[in-house]
Formats: sequence, structure tokens, C-alpha cells
Amino acid sequence: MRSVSDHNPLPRELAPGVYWLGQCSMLEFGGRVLHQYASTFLVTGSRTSVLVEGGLTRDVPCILEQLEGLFAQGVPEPEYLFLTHTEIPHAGGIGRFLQRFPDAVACGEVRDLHLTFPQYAERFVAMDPGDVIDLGDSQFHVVEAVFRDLAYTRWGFDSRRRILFAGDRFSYSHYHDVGHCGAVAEEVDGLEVADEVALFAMAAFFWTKFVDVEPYIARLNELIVDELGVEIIAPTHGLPITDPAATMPAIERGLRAGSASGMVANPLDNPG
Amino acid sequence: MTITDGAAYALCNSIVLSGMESSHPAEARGVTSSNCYLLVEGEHALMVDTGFAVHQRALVAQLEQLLDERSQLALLPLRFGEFAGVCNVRPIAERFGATQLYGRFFGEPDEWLDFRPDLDAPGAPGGGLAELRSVPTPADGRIAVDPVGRRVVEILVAPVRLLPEPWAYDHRTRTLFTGDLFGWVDLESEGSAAVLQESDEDATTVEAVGTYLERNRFWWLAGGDTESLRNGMSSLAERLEIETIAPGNGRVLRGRPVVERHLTMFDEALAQAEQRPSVGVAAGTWPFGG
Repeated sequence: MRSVSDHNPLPRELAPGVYWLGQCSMLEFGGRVLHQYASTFLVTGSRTSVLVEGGLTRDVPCILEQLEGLFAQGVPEPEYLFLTHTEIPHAGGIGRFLQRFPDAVACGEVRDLHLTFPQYAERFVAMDPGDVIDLGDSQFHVVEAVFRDLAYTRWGFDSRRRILFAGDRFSYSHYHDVGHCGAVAEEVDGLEVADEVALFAMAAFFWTKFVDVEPYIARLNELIVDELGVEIIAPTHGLPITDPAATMPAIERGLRAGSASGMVANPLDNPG
Repeated sequence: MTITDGAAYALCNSIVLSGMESSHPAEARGVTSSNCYLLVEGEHALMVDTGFAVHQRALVAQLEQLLDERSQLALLPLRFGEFAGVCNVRPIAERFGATQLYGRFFGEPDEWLDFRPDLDAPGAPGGGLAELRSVPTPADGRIAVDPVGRRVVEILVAPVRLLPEPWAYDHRTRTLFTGDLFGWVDLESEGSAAVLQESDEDATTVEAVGTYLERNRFWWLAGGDTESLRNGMSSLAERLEIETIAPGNGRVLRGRPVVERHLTMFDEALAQAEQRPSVGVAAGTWPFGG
């Protein structure tokens, strides 16, 4: 069983001009019905916008409807479609978005897209950490993905609203229960942070069991706190984090617990 | 390309490496192969992965040579989370009438596989995907190619992996399907032989295997604890009698001597990786330019 939740509170404006888009999917896992996002985000500026992530194909009609509503309010259409990486839950809708926005380019980690959408081969722009997109009154920076699965994964950072778009990372809220749809992490009581991190480590970050995660955690803190001054973290699958300082310690505990866990996921039970 | 006549075929199509292929390090150049496979048992057939859109016509033509109007085709996208595994699910399902896709991943096929705008037909969104149904992989991981189960493909948890994608083993032809691993042997040129046999010259070195792994998907092996990974791979190789390693890209490794040589090089590359300093944090800054 896997379908879309009837209750969809999105779009939600996470910060002025930054919109959380998409819809919740439901799936059975471990005897529970869990909800999960493959979110996209519209980051607007005075000159143009960036659509972050490509969503799952089934979410595209919903996201386009949400976008049309925003465009009707005067929000600029995106000229950039930024992908953290090209796994299906992050890039499944990119072809549809390229079709809808004929003047936009897909950018970020865009490997394999020229083999998937050869008709759009001229519209893929690989971006490296340090590259910047000028939105007018804000800048969208491409930053290193400290935790990643596919190599060359990229994260994004909006300079004016100080939001980090972190792809698969910060997945402690990868799953959430009914009633949590559209909430930010700090609005949900009783999230099982360590368990959720361990679950995601089993599914998506198999490699963390074979490395020392401390250098990664140190670099994560350095990037978020010292270098970027992140105020909001917007993961693709989890609930956005609006108080990183308060939530990061729990995430770190979960990362360590997941790495130390002897659990190994069966890929056939893929939870996302 | 025939692996076992009448039973297993590799459907290989060349890719000129430009640095933008996720199968290889960004600095890699040369030619690789994008590989799908077809297992045939009587009138029944199982296709492993469906390749990239850019190879759609070639793949359909390859399948047309191997299937006929009586063939009943099912699909097994081992690389379900990547475009390499699923780009041609829809056109193949439509052309050959496939109605079963093994594995439940992101919903029914028409929910997540209708991502190619070039396949749109007016008034027919989703096309043949609407006829395709997800079939849960049996709990014992054994998929029957034919209805009476003469031919069994065993789904395996990959002992070394980046993404949560399984491997598979065809007991009849003793072929191990390894997705994004063992893809390190490139083609000599576009369209050249995509199978490596004992009689072929093989210049692959442990160092080349290490570079292939550590400069791309398996950056985390350097400085990592690889002993349990080596043990897992060794156990699998002891349990299964592997005569062919069938990777998702690169040359197909055919015959026991070739298989043994590459298993040994993989093991040595894992052992050497453990001795190197970690590059895991720095890998996040690697540019596409290499």
C-alpha cells in the first residue's frame, strides 16, 4: 500500500518568499502507516526563482497547481530547477518541470539526465560548491553535501533567508505520523529522533556503518553554524527544521546511534 | 549478446563518458556500456533493468530479436532508484505487453515511472503503465521466471552497496547481477565487445578498480572498515557458483577465470582502501571537472 494523503496543508511559506511544496505519501512500514515527503521548494527573489528538487512524478500535478497559485500572486517563475542529486525521489519530476518551464535550466547534480532526457541535453548545468545563482535580492549558493549517497550530491543555501536545502540529510523526521503533515519539526511533539535516524541509515546511508562519522558531524556543525549561519533546514524527505540549534544535538545522537547500529536493511523492504 | 543460448542475454549499448555519468568518476573518459539483461524460459521472460531513454530504440530492437508474439515479459528493475534502471519501463511495457513489475518501490508504476514527456500521447497519460502492476518480491526473495518455477532468480542483499538496491542471481545460468558494482571494465571503443572473456586481453589493475570505486560512489571505502564488506562478498561468492558477473554498466565478466580474477581484484581493492586516509568529508567538494 502506498498512496497520497487526502490531507495536504501545503504549500507552506517557510520564510518570506520560500515555499514548501508537494504532498505526503503514505506507506506501511513496521506495522504502521507512515507519511513521507519528496518535497520541492520554491525559493523566490526579486528577479527570479529557483525550484529546489524534482519530486516524484505523481506529485508533479499537485506541485504545478501549487506553483500556479503562487505565480498568480506575482511570484516569479523559476529559471533554475536545482537538484541535489538524480535519484528518482529527488529528480523524478524534472522532465515534467523542464516541459512546463521551457526557459529554465536544470542545475546542481545533473548526472545521467542527458541520457534520460536527451531532448533537453542543452539545458543541464552541472554546478559545483561555490557556484551562485543570483535571485535579485538574494543569492542561492551551491554548497557541499556533507552527508550524501551519490557522489557529487549538492546542497543549496539561500543567503537572505538563511535556509539550507539538504537533500537526503536531516532525515530524522523522514517518517512522521498522521497529523504531522505540513508541520515543521519543532511543532511535532514526541518525534523519535534516534529511531528515525537509525531507520534512514539502514535504508539510505549503509556506508555510515563502516566509517567514523565524527569528522562528518564536525564538518556539518562547522558548515551550518560557523560558515553559513543556517536558520532553517529544509530536507527533501523530512519535516523542515526551524530551530537548528535546538535540534542538532538530537540529530547528532541519532547519527552516532545509526552508525553504531548492527542493523542492516533489506533493500527489498525499501522504505523510500 | 548471448550469455547462455536460449536462456540469458545481455542487452548492451555504448555510452561515451563525458564526466556526467553517475556510473563513473567525473574525470573518467572512454566508453562504457549501459547493460540490461533478458532471461528467457520458454515463453516467459524476465528483463533486468530497462536502461536509459537514449537507448530506447536500440533496446526495443534487441528485444524484438529475442521475443515473439507469444512471449510473456515481466520486468525486474534492480536499479529502481535511478534512471538507468527504469527509463524504458513504459515503452517496453507498451511494445511487449508486460504486465508485471517486480518490487514495490514508490507506488504503482504509473505513479512514479511516467516521467518522460517525450512519451506523451494525447489523451493517454501514462500509456501502457496503467496496465503494469507492481508485484511484491516474494518473502523468500525467489522470483520464478516461469509460472511453474523451473527457473528461479534469487534476489540478494548486496554485500557492498551505496544505494538500497538489490542484486540478483540466476541459478540456471549462474549469473550474478550486480547493479552499480563490477562496472569498471570499459569498452575499447563505441560498439566494441561488451563482454570480457578469458581469451580477451584484460589490463584491469587493482589500482584501477580502487579508483573506480573511491572516486565515485564508494568514496567512503577509503579509510573505512572494509573487513565485514570483504567477508560478505566472500561468503556470497562461496555460496553461489558464479560463472558470469553481469553489472549494470561496463563489460560483462564471463567465465570462471575472469570472474575469479575480478573478485580477487575487488577484494584487494577493499583491503587497500582500508589502509588509505578517508576522503569522505572532502569528497563533498569534488568538482565535476574532476
